[in-house]
Amino acid sequence: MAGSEGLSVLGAPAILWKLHIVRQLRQRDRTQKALFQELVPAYNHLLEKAELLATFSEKLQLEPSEATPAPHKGSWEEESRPDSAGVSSPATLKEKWQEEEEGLRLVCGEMAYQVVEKSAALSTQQLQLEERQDRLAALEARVVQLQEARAQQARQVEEQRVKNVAQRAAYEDLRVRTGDQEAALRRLQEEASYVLEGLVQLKARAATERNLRLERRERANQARVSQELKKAAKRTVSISDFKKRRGHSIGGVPEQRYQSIPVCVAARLPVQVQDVLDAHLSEVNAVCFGPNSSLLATGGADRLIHLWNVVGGRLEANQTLEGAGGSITSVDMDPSGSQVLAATYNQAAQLWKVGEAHSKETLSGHKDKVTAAKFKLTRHQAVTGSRDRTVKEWDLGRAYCSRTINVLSYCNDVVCGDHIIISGHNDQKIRFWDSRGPCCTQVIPVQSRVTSLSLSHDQLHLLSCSRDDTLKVIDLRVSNIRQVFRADGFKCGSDWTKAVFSPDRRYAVAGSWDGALYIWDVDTGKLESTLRGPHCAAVNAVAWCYSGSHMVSVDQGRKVALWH
Amino acid sequence: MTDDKDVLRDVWFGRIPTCFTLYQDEITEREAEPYYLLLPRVSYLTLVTDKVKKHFQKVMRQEDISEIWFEYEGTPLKWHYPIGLLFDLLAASSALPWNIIVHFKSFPEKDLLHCPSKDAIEAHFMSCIKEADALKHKSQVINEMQKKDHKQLWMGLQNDRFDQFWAINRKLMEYPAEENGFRYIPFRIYQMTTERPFIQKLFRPVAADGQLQTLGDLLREVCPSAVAPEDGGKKNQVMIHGIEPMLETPLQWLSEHLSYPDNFLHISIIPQPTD
Repeated sequence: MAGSEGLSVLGAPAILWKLHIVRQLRQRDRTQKALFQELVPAYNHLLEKAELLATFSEKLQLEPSEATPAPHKGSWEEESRPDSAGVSSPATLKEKWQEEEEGLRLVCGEMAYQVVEKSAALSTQQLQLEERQDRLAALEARVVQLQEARAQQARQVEEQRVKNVAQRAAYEDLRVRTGDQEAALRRLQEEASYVLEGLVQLKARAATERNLRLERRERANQARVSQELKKAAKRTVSISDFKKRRGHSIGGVPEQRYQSIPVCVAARLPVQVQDVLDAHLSEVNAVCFGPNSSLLATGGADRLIHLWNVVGGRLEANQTLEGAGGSITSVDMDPSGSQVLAATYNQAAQLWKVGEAHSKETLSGHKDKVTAAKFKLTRHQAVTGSRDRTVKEWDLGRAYCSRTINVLSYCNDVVCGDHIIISGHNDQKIRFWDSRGPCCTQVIPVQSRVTSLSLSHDQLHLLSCSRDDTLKVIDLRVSNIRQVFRADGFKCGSDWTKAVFSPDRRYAVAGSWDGALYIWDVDTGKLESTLRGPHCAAVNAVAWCYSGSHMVSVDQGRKVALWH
Repeated sequence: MTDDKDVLRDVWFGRIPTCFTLYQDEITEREAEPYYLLLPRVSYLTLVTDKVKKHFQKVMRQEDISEIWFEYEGTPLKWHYPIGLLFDLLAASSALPWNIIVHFKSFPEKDLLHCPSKDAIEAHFMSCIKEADALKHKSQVINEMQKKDHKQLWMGLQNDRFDQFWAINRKLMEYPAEENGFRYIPFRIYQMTTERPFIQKLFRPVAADGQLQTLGDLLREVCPSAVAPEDGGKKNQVMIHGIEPMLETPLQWLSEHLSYPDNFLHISIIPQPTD
């Protein structure tokens, strides 16, 4: 109703007037209606009854007044008769009977009325009874229905239970079967591993057999050749043309030299980084390619040398050579690719065989850290330069120092040619030594401390890197400085920053302190390119492989980068 | 709310105990006993007094009977006023039951209207309803209803059927949601002391500022003498349906719940009883 909205708008105090009105209405009804509610109908009922009685009494009075003229008539007619008294008595009797009849009829009427009432009540009661019986029947039917439903549900529950049991049995079976299958699988896997091992062993055996066979064939060939040589040697050759008899020329056993290293005709200018790795636990100081361009050695301040394979543009760790006594300052691989020589802080240089993790020989004798160790081109010889102002030559077969050269200053780097040893020093000079004589054959001054030396493959040009951020190319035939390379941004990062020639001597590359590699064209002297990217710390060393296809740079941030 | 429904029921089923006595000068064959009746407050005299007529006609001769009329303490009772209004206006302070004198002769032509049949009462009742709806809804609601709805209103009143009557009457008590009440409140203020029969004026239930008007606001505006007694005058009672609502009662609510079946608020102003 709209009124309720009005109420909610007005709020609680508004109910006061409503309560007042409700109370007032109730009070009014109490005083005006309630008091008289029963009284008035009761009064009216009594009034009706009184009127009814009045009408009855009227009627009764009328009857006797009707009855009295008749007896009068009868007595007048039969006045002459002697039995007038007898006539009056039937009249009074008739009167009485009529009264009785009246009364009886009244009673009858009342009875009939009551009968009617009672029969009506009875019929209503019967109706009620029938209705109740109908309801009862309906409820009973419902009960039966519900019981049926219950029975059905119970049956369903049973079915489900049976199904459940069956499922569980099936599940158990499956589990057992899977257990069996798993056991069978394990057995098969073991067998497979055995078979594989057997196969590997077979293959290894086959390989060794093949090797043996090859060796045998080689030996047979060699034997054949020596036989033929012997046969040929046995044949005397006449030298009757010669007048004088020459003495036997004396010659020693020729020095065994390494087989010729393939010469690179044209090196490719590296452009992009192919692979960057965290190579060592600390700074990486030196890097060197093996002769076959796929083996790489890096040495670092963590006293480890890692050997890497260049496979498909990526560096794969091959081996780790341990046992160095101090941080590695330089690494060199011999031209056969089987030995690695490293110079360490520990006042010694150490030699490893590729394939053995621990060093074979230790060349000790220096009194301060060894800054460079290089193989000579003759077998079993090496040269080391050290801060104790000496350069030593070593015989590797017997591991002893065959010669000590006193240089006047800290030696930072050493390179060997066929017969010359070149050393770069802290006193800004490059000294040349002849391996046959004891004294210094030449001295070339440069502007600053020499940090590294690199000899070109034809041994005619020398690249020196010095602390005044310049690279110098020195022509060894005329011993003068042919080119000086400078660049904006190129700064030597340390006292041992290495710069190298490319294998075809067209380019010179050096790493800078900011992590960039600078490449100069040797012939024109111009900066060819700058490579940035992988290095965030100063680049310590650079190496160019002998085929000219890859270049590796290492830095103080433990990284080694492969360039292509 | 159940309170509102209770109020409606109490208003509808209000009764006044009445004692009808035949005027002593009427010629009767025998003594006529007084007839008691509980009269419904909301109905009309000639609608509910058939039994009275029959009762008294039993004691009178046929030729003496002309139109029946009623009077209380000398005042002829207008049949077209609702019974409750007549009682509150004339006899509120007297003792119960209400003693009405029944006359069969000397119909006072100047004071009363004739009531020839029930149809006259019906016509009067329906015209009151239509007038009330004209004030409340500009006659829109009543004109939308069908003839059978009008008939149902009358039959509900005639047969004292609360649900039958209110099934239709509730439509007359609705108002559109954007307003807060009816257009004008249908009311009549009756006062015995004035020469005018009643005061009826246009009055809006909602003031210009949106406040709901109360009973007090209405009286102050329309009949100030009722609320504020004049010099030397006594205080007056404001009575509707035999009760005195508080003057703070909202007029809109009063019109919806305390109206008579003819949709009017019949308000009586009577002097305070001096006992």
